[in-house]
Amino acid sequence: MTLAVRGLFVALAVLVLAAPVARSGADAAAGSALPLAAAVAALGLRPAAPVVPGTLAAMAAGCGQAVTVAAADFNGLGQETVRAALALPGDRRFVYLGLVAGQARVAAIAARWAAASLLHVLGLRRGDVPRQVVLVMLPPACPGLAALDWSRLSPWR
Amino acid sequence: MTRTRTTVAGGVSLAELRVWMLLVAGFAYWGNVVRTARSDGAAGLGYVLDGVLQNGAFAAASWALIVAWAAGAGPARRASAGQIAAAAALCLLGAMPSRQTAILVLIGLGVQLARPAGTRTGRKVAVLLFALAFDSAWTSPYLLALHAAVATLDARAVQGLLHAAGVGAGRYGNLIAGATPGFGIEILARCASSYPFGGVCLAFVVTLLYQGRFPRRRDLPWLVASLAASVVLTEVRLSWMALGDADYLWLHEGSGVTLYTLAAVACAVLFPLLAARGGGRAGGSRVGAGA
Repeated sequence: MTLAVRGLFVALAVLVLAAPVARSGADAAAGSALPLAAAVAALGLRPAAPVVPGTLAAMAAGCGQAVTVAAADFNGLGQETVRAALALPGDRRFVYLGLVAGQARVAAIAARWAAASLLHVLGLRRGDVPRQVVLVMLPPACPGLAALDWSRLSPWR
Repeated sequence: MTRTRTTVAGGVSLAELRVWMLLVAGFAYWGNVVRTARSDGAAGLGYVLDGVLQNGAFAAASWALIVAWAAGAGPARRASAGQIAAAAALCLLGAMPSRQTAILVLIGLGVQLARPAGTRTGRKVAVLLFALAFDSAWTSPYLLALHAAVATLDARAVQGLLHAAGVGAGRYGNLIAGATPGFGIEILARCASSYPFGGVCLAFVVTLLYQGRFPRRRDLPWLVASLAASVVLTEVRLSWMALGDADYLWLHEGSGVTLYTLAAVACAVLFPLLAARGGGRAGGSRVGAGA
């Protein structure tokens, strides 16, 4: 009995020691999400000169005004850039893990982040959970751009 | 140090069970630290050492004390089947490699050790485990938004300090700019004055326990003073960094980092030492090394 209990705890200790190594390998293999510029290009938009420093600007076919894309990290990085981009005229879209909303819905963003984190912990989701909320400022002259699949800038995957 | 019996006839003792659990909790904690360092981009064998070093001297000191006290952390009586099953379940939770589960294991084990039926040494180890869990939770991604909000307040404080020193600077949210033309700093969550609070609390507990004193409610003003000193130190550092590119590089990547670290460690150790001295004079209870 004593030996069996000791054997069980040795096995558990080895399991706990080996698990982070396996997890690191799986995360590295999963890779990171498509960079924002590449994701914007994948939507068929061409790069343009940004109006707000630190943001991405892109032109869509048939639209004379640029779409502005900015990202803010949960740690505050890019917060001021997003604030400056929000001052631009046009329709806004906040994108996070497949969610596309006209307002920064903190509860919905937090719920998606929590769900993705839980799945990640349980090993049901590969790769890190993104910590950046993407803002898209659509030019007022081209309302049709709202129909584009903006969720691709921060997909659930 | 006293020797403690860890085995009993015909079964495993609670003392041995606690040693196994502490071993697994240590593996879960440090495994998570190393994994996080690796995912932050460190590569090669050096990442293991980097991860351990970046986690802080007080976390290492905590685990050194836990190792020293592990044998006395549980009573010498025989562990029941239920206690063994509960311990195994907690250890199995630690096999899930994440910060959340490592925190849960530390808290779960701490709760078991803190029970009145446990040993005095067990309660000291429990306090260390709670402090480690608090530090892990406080610096976790879950609280980044909170620290980012504090960073905006820090930017306000930095602007005030710079103005008081006769340096004009503009503030835009968490951005401080204009102390030098064309230069500005963005204060992020990990630079916020609230971010080191977990480490300061851990340092306070470790130093007190190392001094042979169990933390008490009377120590609270000293802990608050320690946290306040940490805030002041951070604001001074941020203000200094906002002065210009050369100052920023020196304090962020140069030898200024060592100076700041030494000052932070000195502050973190000073207040618990003062608390321990004050408690000694008042004839407060001191904890022995034995179980």
